Amino acid sequence: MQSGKRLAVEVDSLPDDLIYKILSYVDTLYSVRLSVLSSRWRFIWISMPYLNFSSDEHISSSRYHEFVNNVLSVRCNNKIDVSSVSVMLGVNVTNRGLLLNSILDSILTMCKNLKNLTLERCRVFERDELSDAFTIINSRLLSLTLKKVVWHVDFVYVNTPQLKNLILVDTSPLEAKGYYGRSISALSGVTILTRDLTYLYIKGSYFPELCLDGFHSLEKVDLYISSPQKTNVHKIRYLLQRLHSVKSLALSLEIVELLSTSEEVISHQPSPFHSLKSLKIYPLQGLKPLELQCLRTYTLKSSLEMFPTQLDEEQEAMKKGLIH
Amino acid sequence: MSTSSSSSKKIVLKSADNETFEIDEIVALESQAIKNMIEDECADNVIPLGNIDSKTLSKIIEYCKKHAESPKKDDNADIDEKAVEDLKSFDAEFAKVDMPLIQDILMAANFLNIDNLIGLMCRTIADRIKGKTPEEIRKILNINKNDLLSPEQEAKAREENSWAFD
Repeated sequence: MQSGKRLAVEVDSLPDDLIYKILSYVDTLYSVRLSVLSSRWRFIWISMPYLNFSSDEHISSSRYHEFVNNVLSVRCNNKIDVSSVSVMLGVNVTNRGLLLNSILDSILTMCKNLKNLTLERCRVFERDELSDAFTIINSRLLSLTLKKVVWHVDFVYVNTPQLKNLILVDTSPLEAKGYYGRSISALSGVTILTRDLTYLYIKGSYFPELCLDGFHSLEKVDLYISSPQKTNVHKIRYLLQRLHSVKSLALSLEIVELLSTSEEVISHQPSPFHSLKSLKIYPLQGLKPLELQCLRTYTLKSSLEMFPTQLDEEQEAMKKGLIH
Repeated sequence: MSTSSSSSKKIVLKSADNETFEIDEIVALESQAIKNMIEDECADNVIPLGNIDSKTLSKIIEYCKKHAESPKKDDNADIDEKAVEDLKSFDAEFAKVDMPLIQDILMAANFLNIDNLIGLMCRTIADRIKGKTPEEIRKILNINKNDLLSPEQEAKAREENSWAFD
């Protein structure tokens, strides 16, 4: 009889902030349609702090842009700020490169207190004709995530003085050539102007040249590069040597291998990691499973020596396992 | 934070229906709320959870146990990929319960501040309503019948947001 007692106290009894979280996992277009469910749901989308523009429907870009503008113009007049926006434009959306730029313009001008921005599976072109870079300028943004983005520009320029977290996932340049008569670029540089970035996460097969204005505040760095090219060694070394303040560092085994096979042996230089408390090394998926046997054949010792020895016992054990 | 981690310390949680659960402190620390209590030293030997019943609490402990013992053991790096996969399939199985329990777990996870579990439950609910008609969703979410819109109100809602409906 317990189920009888529960009737009518279902999801409707959840507080608004949990409903918002549930709706953060569905497309905002769909959340608006939920306004017919009941009087509680009638206006809930108007105060949602997380917007999720993710479409893979066959929809024309002008219609989708109109939809985004409609949501934003109603939404941004509400006293609860939009804190997170995520944009995911699937392959079925026509002209999605230009669409992304117009959507971004709307988002950045209308959401005055945006904290988190995520771009996923988008095609990225330059934002205006004068520059050859994809530019994001925003004074409030705390967190920027670029995931499986296809670059049609050589440079990314992010001017976000407050940015704390930068997450780049699978941002490798696409193999195919000449989409829309435009060549697909190998992204050569990412410039981030920020005063106090604390977290940097890069995962994928590609390591972009990073030009960070503030390395001094980085506390946690995760670099999961699956097959770093020889030519990346300088970029990686340049970054590692600036991580004076980093407390937690995770590297792919492939990076460690690359560093240890490079000619300029890094261990001859003083360790840059003054504050390191945690070091983790992972082999990545896609690489053949690594037996300890194979590990011994790599000359990891020299590159591991750059890390200070006052790590905790577990990590010490791991280092020994790798070295011998 | 790891200053007082004498690893085998036990914590006792007491559910609304007075059942007690003795768990390792490390498992309890998955809850940010309990972690704060322990750090502020305002946790007694027994932590009473007056708004969580034993069925919900045992599910939550099952989740925290799995997640507490899962990822951190990367001394043999090979295990790690497996551990991630293992955790994923655990989460998928864990979420295969009926809506009332999902809601209870979500409310309790929110109270105990267990971020991953809140996310898992919210995503589960979202997945269950995706692509469904309003009528189906009302049933899934068991929306209060007294709260339904009148046909006129519903027509008005559709008209106001017509750009989202066709």
